[in-house]
Amino acid sequence: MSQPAGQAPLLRIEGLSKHFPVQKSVFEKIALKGGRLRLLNQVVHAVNQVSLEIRPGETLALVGESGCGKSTLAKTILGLHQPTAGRIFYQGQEISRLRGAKRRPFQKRIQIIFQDPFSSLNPRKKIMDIIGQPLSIHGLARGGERRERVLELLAKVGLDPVYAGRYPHQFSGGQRQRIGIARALAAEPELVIADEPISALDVSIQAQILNLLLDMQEEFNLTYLFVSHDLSVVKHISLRVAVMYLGFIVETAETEEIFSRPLHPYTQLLFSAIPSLDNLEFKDAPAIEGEVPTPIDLPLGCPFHPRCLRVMDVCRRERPALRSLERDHLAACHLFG
Amino acid sequence: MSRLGAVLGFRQAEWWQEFRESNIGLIGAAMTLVFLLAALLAPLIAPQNPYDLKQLFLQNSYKPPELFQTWAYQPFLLGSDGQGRCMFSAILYGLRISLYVGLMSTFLSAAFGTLVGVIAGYTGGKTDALIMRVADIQLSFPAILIALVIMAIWGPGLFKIIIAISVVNWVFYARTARGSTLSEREKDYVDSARAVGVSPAVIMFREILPNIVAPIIVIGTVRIANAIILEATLSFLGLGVPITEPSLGSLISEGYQVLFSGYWWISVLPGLGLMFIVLGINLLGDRLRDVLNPRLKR
Amino acid sequence: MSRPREVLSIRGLKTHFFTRRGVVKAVDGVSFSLDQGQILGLVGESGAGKSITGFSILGLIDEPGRIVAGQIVFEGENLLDKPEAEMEKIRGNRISMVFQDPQTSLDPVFTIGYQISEALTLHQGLSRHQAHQLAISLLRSVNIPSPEERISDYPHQFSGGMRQRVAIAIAMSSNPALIIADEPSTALDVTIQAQVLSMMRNLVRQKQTALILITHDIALVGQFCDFICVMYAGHLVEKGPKREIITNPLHPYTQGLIRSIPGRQTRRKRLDQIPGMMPNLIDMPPGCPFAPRCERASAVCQERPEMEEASPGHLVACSRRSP
Repeated sequence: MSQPAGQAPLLRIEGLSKHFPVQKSVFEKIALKGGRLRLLNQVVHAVNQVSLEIRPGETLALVGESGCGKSTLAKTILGLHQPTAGRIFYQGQEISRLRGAKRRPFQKRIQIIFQDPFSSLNPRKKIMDIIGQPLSIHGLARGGERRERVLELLAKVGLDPVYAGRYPHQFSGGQRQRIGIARALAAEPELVIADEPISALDVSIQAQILNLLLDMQEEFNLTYLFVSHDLSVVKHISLRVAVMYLGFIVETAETEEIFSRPLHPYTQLLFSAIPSLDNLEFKDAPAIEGEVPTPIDLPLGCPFHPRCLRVMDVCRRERPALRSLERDHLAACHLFG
Repeated sequence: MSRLGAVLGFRQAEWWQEFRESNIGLIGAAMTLVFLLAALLAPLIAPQNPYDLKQLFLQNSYKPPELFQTWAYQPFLLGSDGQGRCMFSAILYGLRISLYVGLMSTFLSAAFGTLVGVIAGYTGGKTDALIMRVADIQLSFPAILIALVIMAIWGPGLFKIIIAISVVNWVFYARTARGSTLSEREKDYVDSARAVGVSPAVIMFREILPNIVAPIIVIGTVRIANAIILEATLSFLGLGVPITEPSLGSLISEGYQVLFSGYWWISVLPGLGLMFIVLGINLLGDRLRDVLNPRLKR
Repeated sequence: MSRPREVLSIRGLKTHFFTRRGVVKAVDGVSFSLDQGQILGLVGESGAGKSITGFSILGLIDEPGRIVAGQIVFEGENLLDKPEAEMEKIRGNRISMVFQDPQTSLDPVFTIGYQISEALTLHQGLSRHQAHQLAISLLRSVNIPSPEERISDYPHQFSGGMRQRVAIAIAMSSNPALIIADEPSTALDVTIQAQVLSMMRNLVRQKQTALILITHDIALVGQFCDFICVMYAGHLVEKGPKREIITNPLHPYTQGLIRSIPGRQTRRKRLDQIPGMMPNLIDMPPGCPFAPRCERASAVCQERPEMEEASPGHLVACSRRSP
């Protein structure tokens, strides 16, 4: 379902950073450290200088472990966070700093599906109201027509329309995710950000929901930004993959390419750590020591260098830029010049 | 019993089942119900209207309880006070005031406190800091003192005392509401509403508020008793309701002065009434809290 | 004291919960056995009963749950016959457990050193000094760097992966015959997960401890375990050597699970999915629990299928399997 690479991207992100202060008020900033009074000004570097493109009709997977910033990136695109630096363009228009009424049209065209089926639906609202809310807000349908649309959507995601009068706690995790998908579709979006939509579900349900997502993409011509840490799912559903580590994009490539030839050492580590049914031989995990550093104290130079087996001197000093190594395969690593 | 539940709706039926399991809860509920009915029906069942000055004759004053002598339902079955009021009637009307003040002030302070708390919790930043500092400052004064000062300046009156008690109590609701709002605010469904374009005001009141009501109710049930006692205390000190329409507190106060002369019924009987209504509400509230608690997780 | 070859043998275990809404047969007739040094993977989705099986072995089932039938034979003795006092001597000593959530399995107000030593002084009667030394070497064995310094740190100063390793160190400290690990790596990042499980596997091989790994991740058991038991809705539906189960699954549920794992099939085509949902465990009807979702179900499935041997060591409970 991809378009030729020459077509204009649907979403373009340039140098996006999002930082959060750790100490939020004056009182928190004053601290006693090492016997002296100091002013703390720590920052969580959640997203760092991210540049990405998503092409119409494709599925881009954003991969990384917890704390790598992928969810923060997704929320910043949606406007739930204001970027600290950088720009976001949707169909050529800059949306990075839009608020309020100016943002409204984009809140219709970009939608999100959340990870946790238990907290993503308001427990006190009926399904009818949950799915109907985007229809009302964006003036897409009212009254009887709104009702009709909601029932249609329920049927589309494989749920009995009777369920519209019930409350979220009466449904299982998989059903709630379907409701979440119906809600995302209600606004007739172009871009759907799926933030770990199946991680919290049982394995046998995961396949169902994945299939549903694929069907919906085909039927409504959707573009997906698929955030996940589950590589087998990513392999199955995405066209291109971007790997994140500590808020940086370390590698992007087409799915087949990146799985057969991962270039960045972190990507290689990540892929080798995933247990797969194709290889039942037990192999010892690579003896990488050390823990994942925190996004508060970013290492100087390459963010991955403390854990990298092939670390060189330059890696400790200079941060590598994301460079195009071959057609559509980018990596940020000093190993490649 | 489950038909009652079916009438009220599916969820009520479940907690009613669980509620039934504790005898203490049922006793509390029964007591509260009895007192509530007594208070509501006071004008109909009281042998005398103790507020009607024309019906009071001083020669009827200080009569001891006649109940065990005559076994008749008539004025003075529980004795009379210094003004010639039938104690039983006065207690019934006093209960009215207690419950009215208790419920109204709780409702007002809960409504105001929750509103303020949700706004503080959701908006954060300076608004939150300001509201919480005000709350902290108020909490550093004893509740009684604040109420006393208000009533002393303002003068006695039923409406005034409700306001005074509300002013004292809003803080508890505000803090709870704020805490709950802070945790709800992080949940995905709020993010979802924001992402769709719902305005903050609507998010606060249509998304978050319904989800934080449960702990508010729990606190409310406990604080009704508190409000009742506060009103009684203020009236005891002469700073509550006007003396022509005595509440339980004023009756206790009046009787206190003649207590050691042997006229025990003027203090003790209203005191017992006060004690039982508070006990009933507390037992009910306690049990309600236990039953509602797991539901909070929903 | 020499250890018997067979460490654990569970026969016909049934653990039921008697709730207000009905009887939940969380574990309904589970049998398997485990030898020294072997790793058993207990696989199933939520509600399958695998965690409850683990808790049943340790005797940690509380009201309204009860073990209503079966035997749990550990080192030759039936644990179900033992009084609580004796079970306390076994828990944390002969049988250890590692839990899923590294955040909450360690007490935040005590140092790591204290928590490890506590287990040692309690069960092995070591002096404080001896326990301290042993604790340091235990930390070293689970690859915690600078153990002499880290031993006086508090849990919040460790990352999730390290906390889990500490939990494993505590579990191994008494040289148990059996460790039950309930989703030990689910809450961890993928790269850390690999390290922790590798380490566990090496340790148990070294000390010839038996390990039951409870998880929902089939790929994980494929990598780390020797044997696999597949559970569904309280029933054990298939068990056998890992290679057998994965390359030749016989039960429709196992087949469906393996088929529905993405990444093994043609990309971007619809995955084979198991239709329907997990059944409600309250008052389940008799017969095969998977029948409502099974494409091969027929009238015979209304009767509960027996566990039969399809090939040496490979058993499956399905009346409709292809022979």
